[in-house]
Amino acid sequence: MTMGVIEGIPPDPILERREMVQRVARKTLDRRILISRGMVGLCGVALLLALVPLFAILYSLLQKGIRWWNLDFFTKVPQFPSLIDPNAIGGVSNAIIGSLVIDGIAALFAIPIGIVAGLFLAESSSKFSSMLRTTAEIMTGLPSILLGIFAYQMIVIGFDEWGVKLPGIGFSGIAGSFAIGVLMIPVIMKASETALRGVPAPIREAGLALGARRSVIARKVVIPTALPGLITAVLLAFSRAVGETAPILWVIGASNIVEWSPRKEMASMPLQIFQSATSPYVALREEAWGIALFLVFVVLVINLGSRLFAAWLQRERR
Amino acid sequence: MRIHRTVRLALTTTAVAVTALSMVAVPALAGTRSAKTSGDPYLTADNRLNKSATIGGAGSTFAAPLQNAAQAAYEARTPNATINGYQAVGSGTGESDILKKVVDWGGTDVPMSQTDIYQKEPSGFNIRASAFVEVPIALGGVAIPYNISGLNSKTPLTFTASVLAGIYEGHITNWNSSAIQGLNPKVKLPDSKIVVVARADSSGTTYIFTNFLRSAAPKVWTTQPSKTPLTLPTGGVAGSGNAGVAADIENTPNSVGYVEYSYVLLNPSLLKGVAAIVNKAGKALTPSLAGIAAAAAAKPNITAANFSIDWQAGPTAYPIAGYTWAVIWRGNQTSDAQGTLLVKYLDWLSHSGAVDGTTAGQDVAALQGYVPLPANIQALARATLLKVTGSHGQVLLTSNGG
Amino acid sequence: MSELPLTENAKHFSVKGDSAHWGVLYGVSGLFALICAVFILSIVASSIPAWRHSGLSIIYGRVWSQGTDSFGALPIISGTLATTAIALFFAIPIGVGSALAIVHVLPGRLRILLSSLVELLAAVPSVVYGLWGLLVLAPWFEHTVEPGLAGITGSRFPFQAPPEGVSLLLAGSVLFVMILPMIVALSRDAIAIVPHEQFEGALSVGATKWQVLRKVVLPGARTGIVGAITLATARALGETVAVAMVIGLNPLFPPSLFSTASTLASTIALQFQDATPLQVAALGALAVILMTLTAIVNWFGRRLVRGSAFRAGVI
Repeated sequence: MTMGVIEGIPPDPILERREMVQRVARKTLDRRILISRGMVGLCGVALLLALVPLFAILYSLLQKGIRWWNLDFFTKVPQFPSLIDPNAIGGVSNAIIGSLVIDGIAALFAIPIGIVAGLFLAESSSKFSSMLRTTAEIMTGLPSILLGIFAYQMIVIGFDEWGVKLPGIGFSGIAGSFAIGVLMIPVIMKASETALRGVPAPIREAGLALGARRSVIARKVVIPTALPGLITAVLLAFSRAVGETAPILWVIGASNIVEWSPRKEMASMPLQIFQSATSPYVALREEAWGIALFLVFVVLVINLGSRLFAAWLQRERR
Repeated sequence: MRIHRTVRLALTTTAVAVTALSMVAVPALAGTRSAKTSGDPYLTADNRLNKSATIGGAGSTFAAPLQNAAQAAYEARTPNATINGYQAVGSGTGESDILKKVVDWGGTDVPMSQTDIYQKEPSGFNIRASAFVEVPIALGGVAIPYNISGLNSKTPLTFTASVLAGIYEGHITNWNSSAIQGLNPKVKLPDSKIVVVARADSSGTTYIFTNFLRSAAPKVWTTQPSKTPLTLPTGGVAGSGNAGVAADIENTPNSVGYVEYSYVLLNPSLLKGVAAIVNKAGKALTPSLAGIAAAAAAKPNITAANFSIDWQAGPTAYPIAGYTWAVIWRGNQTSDAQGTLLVKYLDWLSHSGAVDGTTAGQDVAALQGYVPLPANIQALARATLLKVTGSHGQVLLTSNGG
Repeated sequence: MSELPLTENAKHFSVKGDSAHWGVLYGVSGLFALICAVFILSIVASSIPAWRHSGLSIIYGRVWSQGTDSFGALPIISGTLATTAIALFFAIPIGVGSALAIVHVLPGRLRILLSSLVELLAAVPSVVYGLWGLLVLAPWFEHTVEPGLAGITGSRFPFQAPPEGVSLLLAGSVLFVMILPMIVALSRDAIAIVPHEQFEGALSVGATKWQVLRKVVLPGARTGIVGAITLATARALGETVAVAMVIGLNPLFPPSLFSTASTLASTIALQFQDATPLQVAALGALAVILMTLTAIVNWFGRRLVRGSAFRAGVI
């Protein structure tokens, strides 16, 4: 719409500007549409590019790993090749049980500590709590190998400095549990804090109004209400811990038999994948795919399961 | 019915004779269960343990194939014994671990010396080398596999020590350089850069290899042999453990490296290209059990102080070979039960069962690509183990279950 | 209050119990704080002999050798930075672009499906990425990609060494695949919470879709996206196992992208066990450097991400 000069009215700078903008816009429209289609298309291409390696990994895992899944794989212990039986391979039951024990014990002490510390962060606003929060944030971002150093120096070798003396236990499942537990605590802490803070204030206040003391409110009101978020947090932290290799690289020793006692040396699935993948024996390298597939399967089941469970709990609550 | 008296007598005699014979013959034929009347009492007792115990070892990857196979065999024969998986972390770490007492024995290809101890402990720490004993447990060799893309040759390449030294120092950079081509006139070598593979960790195998280079080519390889990781020429690849080096050679084209012989023997893809090394007598030999045995035979009286069998004389002696050892504390075991299991396991490991017809460690070793320890070395192992004492100063290696 | 006799029920309501509650809370939190303090202090303390021996030359020295007791980590630090840089170079455009596509290009069902898929992939353990990188990607790189790159650029820097399989480029690529789901998931969150009214408002004045994305959505999501990138950077800097499997562990300066190299985390992992006491201290110094790097990057990232939709499990 062109506004020509209307007799008697002076030209309005705003209207002139609008007219200029519309003129430019119309002239450039085709080019802009072209650029837009191109760039949005590029984004689509980016998405496809992103999916390629990810699908490639899943495909390799399935294709190379599934053929290892038989009863022997899950129930037998490893065997070693020899000149009379160069294809001896056995199974990985030692690694599966080892992972179970190590991660189970880690979860056993990390979960209560993480949730209680999360409750502390949610309920307190002191300097100590904000410092703790920052510490937890730093700890979740640290490379997990550092926790392996920590566990090695504290638990395996023992501590003998600054007047404190801790005997070392030697290589053991407990050392691995310690490393993985300390890894899990800050993750659970921060996620629990978010979940617990999500409990609406009126619910807490109602408890206080009834005269209940805080620990009772926490136990009977806040935690049950936040349970879906807490369970999700715990399961996700656990699924991350199951896949960690670096913290247990040099602290759990090794075991070629199924070992249930955490006081002793054990094997573990991620560590076994690492060792088998870098082995010169072709059969072991191929077996690593089978273990990797199982590990990914476990991790995905826990992840999916936690989401579905949280969603179910939400619906139940309605 | 009535049986004639003579017949009855005959039948009884036969029955008695058969029973008597079977009491002796059947166990003798079965082998493993007899109350030994002949054979080695210590060896028999090695599989008998009164108290249950768990031990674990760490160290040399040179010994790892043997340890992995042998442990399973020993545990199957010995009730009450549990042996943790052998941690193949390299000789250097094995020595550190035994010093810190986080394992029961440290595996190393180079017997631990006082210098080694000083290096690993902060100064002022008083551990004497005499607090340990070194038990020889296996005899093997170091192979030089290569992986040259585009090489179509059935015959193995030949190297001399000076050529290998030149390669590892970075003086010889291409496969078709005159030094290498001169040794292999019948083979057309490609014009590609050599990728040198060595150990990233502290390794006894590195010691055996560098000791060979130093003994055979002292003008080219001027540094003293040691376990510390070699400085690689540009583009070199460092592998962790013998297994890592073997995997790196398999995966990297135009590479060459040094690997304990078992790893090559049990791995068909590496077996395709293993070099022949010129020995002291001038013959080019690929590694073989016979060659390693000849090297050991050329220097039969080794001790923990004088242990190297590299570069031995004799036309059939393979020039890069060595023993591997288990380092254990002479006293101060974690417990008597653990100490007993430890010495019995190592005794079983270092002996052949040929006398009894049973299987012992060196029989397992033979199936893993090692040469069974010569008889005098087996005796050395036994004598060394008899020096290990328990909490009351008693000798732990017994010829009963104790 | 304490004078009245308490009935059974009333015990639940006594004020006295509060101290137990706070006692437990402070006790447990204090325990965790103590563990963290001991952790950080022990690593710093273990590195002191190395700082005393070599001083700052640990950071700028070029030779890392156990035998000669010289510990210069410059090649190792640059290996860490280089692999992370390669990973980010590809992950940022592809990751942010994918996130834009997921939110603004895909129809509803596909959007939910792909979002979940990407989040699940972020949970895959790093050792599996290392396995795939070593057994699948390395041969492909060695036979196809690296010769191809060398051919195209005429073997000039940085593509000049002979392709070996394990290399700096391979490690960077594996890291790229590893941090990609993380960047996509977190950027997706940030982009999705830009109010739809703003998007539609911009469209209604005649902007094209791309103009809206560029001038409204991305600036709006910038905090979250930058946060995602810094978190992914921290992860890449500290990644140990996957890198150790594909980098060749050579503590020298890699002359080209096809050469072997080493990173801080992988050096620590592989040398820690058999180190002499001075070397243990030197590795502790590497740990301190690594800790400082990741802590700074993380702190920066979390300050930017806090407030936007932040999923516990993805990190």
